[in-house]
Amino acid sequence: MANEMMDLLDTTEDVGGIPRRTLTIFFMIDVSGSMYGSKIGAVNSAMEEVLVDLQDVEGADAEIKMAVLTFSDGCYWMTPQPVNLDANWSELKAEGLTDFYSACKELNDKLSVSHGFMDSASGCYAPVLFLITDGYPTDDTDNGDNGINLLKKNNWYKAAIRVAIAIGDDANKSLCENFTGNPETVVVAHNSVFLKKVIKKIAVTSSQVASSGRSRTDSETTDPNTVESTVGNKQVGTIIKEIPEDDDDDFEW
Amino acid sequence: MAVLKKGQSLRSMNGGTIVVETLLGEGGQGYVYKVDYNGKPMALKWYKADELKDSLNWFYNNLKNNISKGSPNSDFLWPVDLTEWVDGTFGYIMPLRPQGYEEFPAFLMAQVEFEKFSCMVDAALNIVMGFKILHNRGYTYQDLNDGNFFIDPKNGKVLICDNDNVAESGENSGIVGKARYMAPLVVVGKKMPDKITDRFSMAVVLFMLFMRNHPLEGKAVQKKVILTENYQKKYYGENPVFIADPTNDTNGPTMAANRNFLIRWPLMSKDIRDLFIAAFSKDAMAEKASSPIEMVWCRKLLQYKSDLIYCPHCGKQIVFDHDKPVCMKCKQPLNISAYLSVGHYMIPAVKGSTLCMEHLIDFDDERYDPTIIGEIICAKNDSSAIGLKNLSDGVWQYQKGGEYVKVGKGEVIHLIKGRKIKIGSHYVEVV
Repeated sequence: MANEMMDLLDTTEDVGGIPRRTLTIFFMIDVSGSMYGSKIGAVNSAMEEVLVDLQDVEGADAEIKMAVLTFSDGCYWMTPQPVNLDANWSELKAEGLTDFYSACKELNDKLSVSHGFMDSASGCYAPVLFLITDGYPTDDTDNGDNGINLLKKNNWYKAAIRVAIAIGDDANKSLCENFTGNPETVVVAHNSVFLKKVIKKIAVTSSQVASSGRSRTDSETTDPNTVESTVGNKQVGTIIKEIPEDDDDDFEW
Repeated sequence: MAVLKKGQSLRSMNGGTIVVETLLGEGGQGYVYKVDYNGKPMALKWYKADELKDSLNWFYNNLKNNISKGSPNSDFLWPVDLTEWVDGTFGYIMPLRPQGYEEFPAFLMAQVEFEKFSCMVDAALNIVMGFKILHNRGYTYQDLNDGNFFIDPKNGKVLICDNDNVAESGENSGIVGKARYMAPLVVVGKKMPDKITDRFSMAVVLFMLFMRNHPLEGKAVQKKVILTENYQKKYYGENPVFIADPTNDTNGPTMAANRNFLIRWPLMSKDIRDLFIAAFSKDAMAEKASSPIEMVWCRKLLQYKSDLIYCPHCGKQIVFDHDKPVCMKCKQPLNISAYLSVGHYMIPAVKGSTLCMEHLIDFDDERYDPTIIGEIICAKNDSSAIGLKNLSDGVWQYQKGGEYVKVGKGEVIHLIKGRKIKIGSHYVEVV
C-alpha cells in the first residue's frame, strides 16, 4: 500500500534558475593627475551607487557584471575578472599620465571569448562600454585614433552600446565622440554634482537598453550585414539627450 | 533619480489628494511609489516623460478610458485614478501588491518555489484566465512579459499588473513589447501587438513558468555567444525555431543550457506538450496557422491538474497518462477502476483526487475557481471500494433503485460505474 504521499516537486530533480545571459558593463576610467580632487571624488561616489542601482536592472533576462579598467601611467584592471554587483567599490586615486592607447589595447584584448571576459555558458549580451575622461591621451593622438582604430576591428566593440563622459570645460569631446562613434552618446559634465548624476543615469540606462531590449515602433531597421547595435545606441542617445543640465549649483572646475 | 519627493502632494483627476511616501521600484517606463490616496495606502506609477514622450498623451487617454470602464476583476491591479500633469508628465493610482505575492522573475530565477506542483498549474490557469477575460472584453494586453505578474507560491493565485498598455482592440501605444516575449511578426515589424501576438507572449510566459527555459533558446541560439540586434531579429523574429519542434531539431535542447527543460518537459501531459508545439510551430508563429486560444489552454490545463494523481503503489505524485496507465516513478501498472466524467474532463478516481468547482463551471465564468467540492476516498474496511466525499455546502443527488438519494456535506457516494451524480445543474458520471 501507499507510502507517504509525496508531491511531484519533491520527487523530481530540482530545476535551477532560468539560464541568464551576461551583460558586462565595462568602465574605462581616466585616473590621470588632472582627475584629482572633486572629479575623481564624484566618480567614486557615483560608482558606489551605480553598483546598487544596477541591481534593480538585473532580472530574469540578464545577469549584470562589471569590469573596471583605469588608465593613467599605463592601465590597470581593478577587476581581474568581471565582478557581480555585490562587489565592494575600491576608491580610485588620480595621478599620472593619460595612457589612453594602452587602455584601448587592454580593452581590445579582453573583448574576446577565448582569452577575455566574454566567456559565458549561456551567452552574452552585447556589452556596454563606458568611457569617463577629462583629458588628452599622452600615448596617442588627441583623438585617440591609434587606440580606437584597434577597437574598431573588434566585433564586441562594434556590437557594444558605447557611451562616454567628457569632463571639464576643456573636455576632450572629440576623443569621446571618436570612442563612441556617435556624438549623441557623449555627455559633457562641467561640475561634480552633474558628473555623479550623469554617470549613474548613463550606466543604468545603457544597461537597461542593452539587456531588456524594450522596443518602440520607431526603431530603425538595421543593416543585416552589420553587428553594429544601431538601435540600441540610438535609444541610449535619445535618452541621454533628454538629461537636463543641472544648474542648481556653482561648482566650476 | 526619483522625480517625486517624499511628502509631495498631488491632486487626482477625481479630486482626491495623493501624498507620496516611498519609492517601491523603477522600471523602463517609470517609477512606482507607495502613496497615501485619500487616506488609503495605494501605489502610484509615475511616467518618465523622456522615455515615453509622444506616447504620454496616448497613455493618459487610454488610462482615462480604462479607469472609467473599471477593472475586469480584482485579479488585476487596475488603474483607479490619474494624477494632474506635473512638468510634462503624470501618473496613475492602482492597488498595492498584497502580502504573499512574489514577482514572476523570482520564480524564474529559482529564488521562490511553489509550495506544490499543482500550485504551478493553478498559476498557469490564473494567467490564462486573466487574458481570457481581457480578450473577451475586447482588450489586448500588448506588452506581455515577465514583469506583469505577481504570484502567490502557496496557492498559485496571480495578480496582473502594468495594465496601462491594456487597450481596446485596434489601439496601440507605440510600445511593441519586450525582447524574447514579443511575437515574431512584431519583432520583424510586420504587425503591431494584438490578441494573436498576446497569445504568443502568453505561451512564452507559460513555457517559462513550467520549464524555466525560453522556448526559442536552444542550441542554435546558444551558439551565438553575442546576442546582437540582428541575431535577436533572426532568432526571435525571422526564423524562430521551438526547442521541442518535432519537425525541426536545428534549435533543439542541450544539456548545458536546457537542463531545466529536459527535466520538466516529460512531466507535462501529452496534451500540454501538444499545445506548446502548436503555439510555437513555424506556421503559428508566422500566423499561417492558428495558435491555441485561451479556452483550450484552460481546459487542457485543468485536465492536466486532474491527472496529477498519487500512485497507489509508491505514493508518489505522478502525471497519469490515459493512453499508458503505468506509474512514471515506480513503473507499476495503474488499474484505475473508475473515472469521474464531467463536461470536458475525465478525472481518474483514485484516493486523493479531487473534484473542483471549475470542473463544473468549465471556464464559463470570469474567474478560475479551484475550490475543492469533492474528494475521492477509499472505504476504511476495503481499499478497493472508492467513494466521492461531498466537501461542499450543497446537497448532491444520485439515483439508487429508482429513488433519489441526497448527499450532504461530509457524506460519501460509493462510486459505481454508471452512477450519475447531480450537483446543482451539473451532472458527474462515474465511468
